[in-house]
Amino acid sequence: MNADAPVLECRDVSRTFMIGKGPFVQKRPLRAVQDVSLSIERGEVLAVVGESGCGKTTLAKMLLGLLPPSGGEIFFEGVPLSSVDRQAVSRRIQPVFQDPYSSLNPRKTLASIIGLPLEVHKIGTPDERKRRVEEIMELVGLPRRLLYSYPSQLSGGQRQRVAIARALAIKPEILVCDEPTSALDVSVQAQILNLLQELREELNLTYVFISHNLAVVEHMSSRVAVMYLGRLIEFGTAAQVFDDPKHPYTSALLDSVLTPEPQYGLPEITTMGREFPNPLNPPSGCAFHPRCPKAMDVCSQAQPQPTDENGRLLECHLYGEETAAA
Amino acid sequence: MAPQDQATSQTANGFTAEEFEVEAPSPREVMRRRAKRHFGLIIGGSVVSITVVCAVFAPLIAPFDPYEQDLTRRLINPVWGEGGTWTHPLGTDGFGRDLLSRLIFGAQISLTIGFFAASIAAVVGSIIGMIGGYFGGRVDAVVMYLINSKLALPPILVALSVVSVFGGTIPVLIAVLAALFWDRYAVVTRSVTQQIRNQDFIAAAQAAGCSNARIILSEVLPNLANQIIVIASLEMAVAILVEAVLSFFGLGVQPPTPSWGLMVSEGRDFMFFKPYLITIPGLAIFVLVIAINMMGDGVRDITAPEGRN
Repeated sequence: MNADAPVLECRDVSRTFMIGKGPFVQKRPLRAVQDVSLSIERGEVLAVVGESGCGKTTLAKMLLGLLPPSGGEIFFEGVPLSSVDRQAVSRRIQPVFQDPYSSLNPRKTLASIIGLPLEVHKIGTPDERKRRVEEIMELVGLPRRLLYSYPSQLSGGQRQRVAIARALAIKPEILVCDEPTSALDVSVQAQILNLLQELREELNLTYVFISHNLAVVEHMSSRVAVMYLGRLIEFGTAAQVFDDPKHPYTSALLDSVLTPEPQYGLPEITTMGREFPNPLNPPSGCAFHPRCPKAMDVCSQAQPQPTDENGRLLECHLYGEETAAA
Repeated sequence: MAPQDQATSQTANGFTAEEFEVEAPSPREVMRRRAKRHFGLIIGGSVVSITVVCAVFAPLIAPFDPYEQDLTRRLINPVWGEGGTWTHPLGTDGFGRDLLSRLIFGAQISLTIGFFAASIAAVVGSIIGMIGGYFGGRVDAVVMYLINSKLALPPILVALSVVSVFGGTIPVLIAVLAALFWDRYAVVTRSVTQQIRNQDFIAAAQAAGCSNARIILSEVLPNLANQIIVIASLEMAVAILVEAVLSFFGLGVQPPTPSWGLMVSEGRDFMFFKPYLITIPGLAIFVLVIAINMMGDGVRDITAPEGRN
């Protein structure tokens, strides 16, 4: 293990699903994630943003080791994830899923849901485990009397606290949060986000925070990765991406954020009038060109090459070398 | 302290913590409440319980030895018939054996065969179904092939041929019936497992490092318990019927063992003179099967998440 290496690193990670069933149907590739390279430093909050269907969740599943990449490699502290035992990975990387109604087994009590990772890893005696579960419940703000309740007796926010408690039970270093607040009421969202912030400071956690809500991301993250149709199109610190978005897609995303003040009305989204392309039949060249306000001839012909400027990645012909030269 | 304050404020939208608990009763409490109001469950459950008690305490309850023949007292009518006496409330059969005693001891046979056949089939069928549904792909194709092969077998013919080769002992009957009835468990558990498999709590268990066997047994199985119990009750009823059919054909339980099916078969010779010899055991089979079905329906209703009132 290399101490200097990023905690998690993706090098050209791709995942292709073959869609289509039956002996006479031609299977078609769906490239959910394509050539994504990014690194996650210890203690940071890396946000991954993009529309529904852009491959965020697939990326999260690969980072958790639940889905092997079909190309490229994920490195955990410099060691390829595929060569690390799943048990060992699970002790250090834990998920928080989007829908707290589907992520908790309805037939189990909170005690056994939160205690499951401890039980699997045979940590402590049953008594110690119970104490640890109570401790962690207090940490995430669940009253102890709920220990033997079932998920059906809890509200959405409480359920998400349970999911966080389960993820934290074995003291992992990295939490992969896949849209942890999008299934919750706005008032509860803030509570969960604050809780995640507090826990990060208290337990020195690293977050991979997947979201389509830019307001949430701006509040939480230190670096931001923007994905479009499986590709990483812009990657930089939160300040860079939010204050000076380079890629037209990122600007469009930022323009689409709703403000709390009603007098501003709905944001203008004329730039993205066309709908999200079919991932089974992606546009030629740069996948964003049919919706891009600054599209040029080259955009529909060639895939832009990624440029790297002091760790700020961009994939756009506007900033590519070949355009600059032309 | 701070996180705890948040938790209380969360439930404070008009409810105090205690009121909130009243709002959301535990699943067991919900079940208990529904059970008390479920008419079918109460009736079916009572009939099944009475039958079970009779079967368990048969030697204490039965007025006579079910095997004792007394040709001087043969073919006595039941109490309500001509010349009936309270000594033999349901009359006697062609060998002078007390029908009530045989009926009570017969409950042992029917329930034993029904219960064990349904349980063994439940274990085998559910495991096959869960494996197919959980792993999918090629494994599932094999499971589907097994299920389809099983569905193509004519159950009564298979039972007849196997029993005629291996003899009609109770263990053989149980094995044959279990081998014939596992498919419904497999079909249902497979499709439910396919739905559960895509839920996030399975992914969470995988991310926690659980083995597949552990996920199937401790995450998937508890969610299938309802369905398995309901099918088991239906299959138990069918197993009891098939046992009666096999015994009627003389390929099930061998005489003089008091099986209900066998009793119907033995009564056939007197069908036109002493019809009660057929109607009474037939009625017993009918009532028990209906009661088990009502109980199964009841269990389904009280445990279903959406529940009927």
